[in-house]
Amino acid sequence: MLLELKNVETYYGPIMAIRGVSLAVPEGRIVAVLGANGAGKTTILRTISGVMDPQKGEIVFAGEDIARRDPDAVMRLGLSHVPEGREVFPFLSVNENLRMGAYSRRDRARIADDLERVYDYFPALADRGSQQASQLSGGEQQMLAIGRALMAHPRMLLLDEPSLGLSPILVHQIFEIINRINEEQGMTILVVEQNAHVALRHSHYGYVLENGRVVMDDTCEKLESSPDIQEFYLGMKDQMPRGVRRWKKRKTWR
Amino acid sequence: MRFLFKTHYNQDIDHLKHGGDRFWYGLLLVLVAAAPAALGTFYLGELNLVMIYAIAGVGLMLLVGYTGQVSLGHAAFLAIGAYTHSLLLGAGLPFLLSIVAAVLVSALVGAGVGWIALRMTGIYLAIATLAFAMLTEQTISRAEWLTGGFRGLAVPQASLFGMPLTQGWQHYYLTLTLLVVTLLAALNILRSSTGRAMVAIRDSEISAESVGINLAVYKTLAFALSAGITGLAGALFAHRLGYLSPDAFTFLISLQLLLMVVVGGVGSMRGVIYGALFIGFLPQLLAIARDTLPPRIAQAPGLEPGIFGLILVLVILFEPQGIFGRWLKIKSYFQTFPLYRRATHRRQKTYLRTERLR
Amino acid sequence: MGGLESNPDLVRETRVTDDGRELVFWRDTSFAGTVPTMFWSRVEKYGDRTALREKDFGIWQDVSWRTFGEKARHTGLALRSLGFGKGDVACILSNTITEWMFADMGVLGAGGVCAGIYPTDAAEQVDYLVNDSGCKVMFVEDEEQLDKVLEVREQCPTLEQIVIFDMEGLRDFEDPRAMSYDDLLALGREQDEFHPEAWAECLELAKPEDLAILVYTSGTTGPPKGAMISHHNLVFQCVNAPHVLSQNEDDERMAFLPLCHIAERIFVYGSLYTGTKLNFVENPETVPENAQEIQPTLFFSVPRVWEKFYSAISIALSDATFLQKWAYGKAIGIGFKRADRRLEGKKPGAVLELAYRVGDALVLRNIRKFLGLDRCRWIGTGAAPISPDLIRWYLALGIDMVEGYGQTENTGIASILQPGEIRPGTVGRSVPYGEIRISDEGEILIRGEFVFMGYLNQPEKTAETIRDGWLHTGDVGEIDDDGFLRITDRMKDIIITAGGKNITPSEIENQLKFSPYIADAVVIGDKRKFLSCLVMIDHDNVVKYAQDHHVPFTNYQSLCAAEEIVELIHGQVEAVNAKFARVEQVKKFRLIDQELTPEDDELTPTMKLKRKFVNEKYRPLIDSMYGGQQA
Repeated sequence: MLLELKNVETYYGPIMAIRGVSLAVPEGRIVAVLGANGAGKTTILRTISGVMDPQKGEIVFAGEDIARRDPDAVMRLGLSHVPEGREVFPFLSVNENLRMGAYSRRDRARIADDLERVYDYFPALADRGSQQASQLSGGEQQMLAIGRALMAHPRMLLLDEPSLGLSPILVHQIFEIINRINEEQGMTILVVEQNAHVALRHSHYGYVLENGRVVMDDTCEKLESSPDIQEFYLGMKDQMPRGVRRWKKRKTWR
Repeated sequence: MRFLFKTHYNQDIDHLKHGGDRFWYGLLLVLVAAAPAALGTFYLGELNLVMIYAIAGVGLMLLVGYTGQVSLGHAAFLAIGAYTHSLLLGAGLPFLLSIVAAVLVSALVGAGVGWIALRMTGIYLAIATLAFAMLTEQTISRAEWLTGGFRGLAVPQASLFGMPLTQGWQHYYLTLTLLVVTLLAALNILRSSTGRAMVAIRDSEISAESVGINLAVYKTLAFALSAGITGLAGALFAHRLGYLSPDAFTFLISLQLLLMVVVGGVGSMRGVIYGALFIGFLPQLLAIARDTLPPRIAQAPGLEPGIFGLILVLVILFEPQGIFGRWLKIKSYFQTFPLYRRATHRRQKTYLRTERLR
Repeated sequence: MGGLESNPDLVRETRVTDDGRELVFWRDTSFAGTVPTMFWSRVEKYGDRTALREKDFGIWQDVSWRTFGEKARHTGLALRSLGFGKGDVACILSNTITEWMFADMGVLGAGGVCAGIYPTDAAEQVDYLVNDSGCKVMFVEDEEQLDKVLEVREQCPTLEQIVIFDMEGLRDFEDPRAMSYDDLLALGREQDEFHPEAWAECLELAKPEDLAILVYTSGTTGPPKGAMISHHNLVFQCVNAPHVLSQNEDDERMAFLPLCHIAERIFVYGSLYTGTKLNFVENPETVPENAQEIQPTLFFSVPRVWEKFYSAISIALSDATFLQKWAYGKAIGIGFKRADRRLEGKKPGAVLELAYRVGDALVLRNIRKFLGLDRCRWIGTGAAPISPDLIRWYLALGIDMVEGYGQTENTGIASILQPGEIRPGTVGRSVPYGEIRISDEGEILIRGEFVFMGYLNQPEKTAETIRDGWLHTGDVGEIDDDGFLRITDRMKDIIITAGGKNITPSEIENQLKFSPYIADAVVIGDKRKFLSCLVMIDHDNVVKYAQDHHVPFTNYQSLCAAEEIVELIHGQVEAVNAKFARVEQVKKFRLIDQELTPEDDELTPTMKLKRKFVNEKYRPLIDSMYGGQQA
């Protein structure tokens, strides 16, 4: 297991956002964390990367406890976070953004290689190398954010809602690239997503979060065939005498 | 521990939400009104000063705490209020009319400043208000034919309905009445749609515009209200000073006003009162501190502003919600004892710009 | 209770029983002895006073007696115009909301019979209940309940009309045999305009000995049985109960338990009689918050609710600072000492009393306010066994908790403790208007005017239950020298081990339930070599434990599977075992690793595990504890 969370509890002031979450990400796999708004998914990623401190629990990355360290220390251990809403540096060019991703590295030759590789993954960025990042479209900014994270040559990527605000085609494209990154480089990825369809299709293992707790975890195939996931996350409802059922059944998580 | 049983939506905006509130504020009012019977002239005078500061603080709080516009030059409005009132009173205008005129003149000037500074935010607005304050100070000192410049201007005797106000307690009750009226007026403005518009502007200008709030109108209005109220404080301040000169309204005063608002607790009128008490009794505290500090430091120039700055920094670091914020925490601890959760008032680090500017 | 005695309409009667006890009953002559006339007399007496409140759109909205009366009146008249006659049955399939009450009073006022159905019941159960009762009109809460009825409508020939309270999502729904509640009320209003005397006539239709309501008790063996309860049964309890459980028109109660269960039904009717205001909660999940806002003056509920309150405080305290925990420990310790002295019948000494007052003002009062119980004159528990230690905790907290006993078949309470004489572990003395005795087999028998009329369509079961004029409760118990009743167990639940030993599982289960980590347990051992049990854990508390002890887990199943949790429960079981003889000790246990809700068949609507059902459904799991052998 490259990353393990044990009994993590995080608060936003008086409110408990994560109430005891334990999860594990094996090396070289893609793990998805699903949930509706307010389930605590983004809070988990922020807690892992050090932006928020957990009140209780441990976070073990490659054998080291990173629970209460600063974000830059966590990043230097090899954990790269692509934040929600992309957060590119708006006044720097695409090229400068990417080079900033390699800020903490010293190996010039390898940086150049990585830059090549990022442009290979995201050809759209290659065409806009010297354009200001704020002028890129949403999809291009997402690619830039992922590319910037890759420039740190991390061992693991944390992706926070990569599909946010993107058109369906673009979402597909980006997830295909994420799969490529995982297959070609053996990159371990933890992706947090609201779009359950896409996340389940492109990941190996999934955790479903509700109200700060894990309610179900299994391989993505089993999750896709679970009736509760189908109804509440994949939008399939059964037929009833009056037509498609409108009201929600109680969830059983069996 | 108190839970409100809500049967009307208006209960949300009541000034006094429940029996406990009504009792304690009633008691406070009684105590404050009875103060002249118990306190000597010196302390009564100090309390009077605190109340004048509080009125100025209400004005500044409306601008800084509720509309989110920074002002480093509010001493200018104090000056405008003071001088206008003194000049008009000296010209023979009745007392109350003179005060009203001072308020209106202040408000107009405030509106002007607000209108000019419409497009400025944050640090640029602060500089603009500072510039305005300097402008006012210079204008006052050079317009000797009007204001007497550095030779000063004597403040005429105050007299209400023909009766001259010579005793300390008379001034005290005047100030108290005006403070209560100002507070109630400010609180009522805040719970009206105007107040909500002002708060909306503080929280997010773009969202405010998108629901139809005319930024220009409300920002100007906020400046005008703020300046007018501070002008009222200035008029009362004039009587306390007895003799006006430009160096009674320096940048240090502006800083004191800002300190009052920040230390008291930004964003609440109760914070203004705490802040005013703090500022009012600060000179005493400083005097005591001077006695305990070694002479080298005690006599150093710029000690006062230095200490003000230090207090400001400490408050922002450790208790950004000011005295009122601390009082709220203490109160909630006792109210929910033994079920007070340690993390109730915890703050989290905010790294993202999008979050800080929310 | 001064108000009751000075009421000129109340007539006191006494009678001496066969064994020399004096029974005291009261009759209220201001109305005709039926529920609708009782209701209408209150409507006329209280007029614009608040009768009910419900929380909607964030504020508590009043319903006056006048409005309540109007709604009932229009409902009743509308039903009459649709052909609903005297003795016809209407069912209500809904959560506890004010419309339930309007419909209930309307149906009864029209001379009909009202039967409640649990909103958690499935469509097949609805099918059975509608057919068994011969229901003509069905009131449903919303589209979810409507769908259940529509699914089985074809198999229900007696059902003529469906009335829907909440039409959300049903804008395009058109059906000749279904209408919205608003339309029904409009129909009633029309009727009222044309025939203003009709309602008064309707009120005269029901007679005290007529069937008023049907309460279906969950059948552990066979299908549910419909208990037939008459107007007189209900009125008798309403008029007499306030003399043992004080209630008056200044009181405030909460209403949130299912109205189809006799406990809530009779207490609501009792509140209508005394003019107590009923506050309906926003929805079943907000009960704790609503209790805080309402701060009721009386509270009667099932043990599960009291256990949940206790849990909430334990969890909240575990996050408190050291000083707070210490202060609580001291204060509750003093509370316990004082409670113990009171239980022994002695007055606490001056020093103890003073210490208690201090602890109360500083600590205990806030805890009561947090739970919403600060204004309660008394709190009551019933309908299921409760741990005596939990009762002591509430006493220590400064609230008198009384336990009562009764069944659907006797329309409410048959015995009750009184706030001055609480004896945990017993359920009090018989109420002064009824009799209790123990049969030769040890069965508890009840007699009185509140005993029901029998089971609908089941004469053999009725004959089994009411024999020689006494109601055979099916519970085993004993009465001590002071007349206090102690329940041992249900007769059918008593376990006889393979070694021939008689075990009363309730005792063991009660002790287990006092543990904060165990929500419910079922002890198994009939014809087995030793006792085992299935445990349903208390999710919140166990999660807290796991968090505090760094036990990783993901979902409910993984939590139950964690070694440390099994250890934890093992510890709790062993602690209980220490209190019992060797042959009564639980040797093995298993955790139920699915989160159960009242919609699952294993749980009753009051969140109790159904013994028989659990035994059957988890048979393989149980057998695994006995080495794979069948019983």
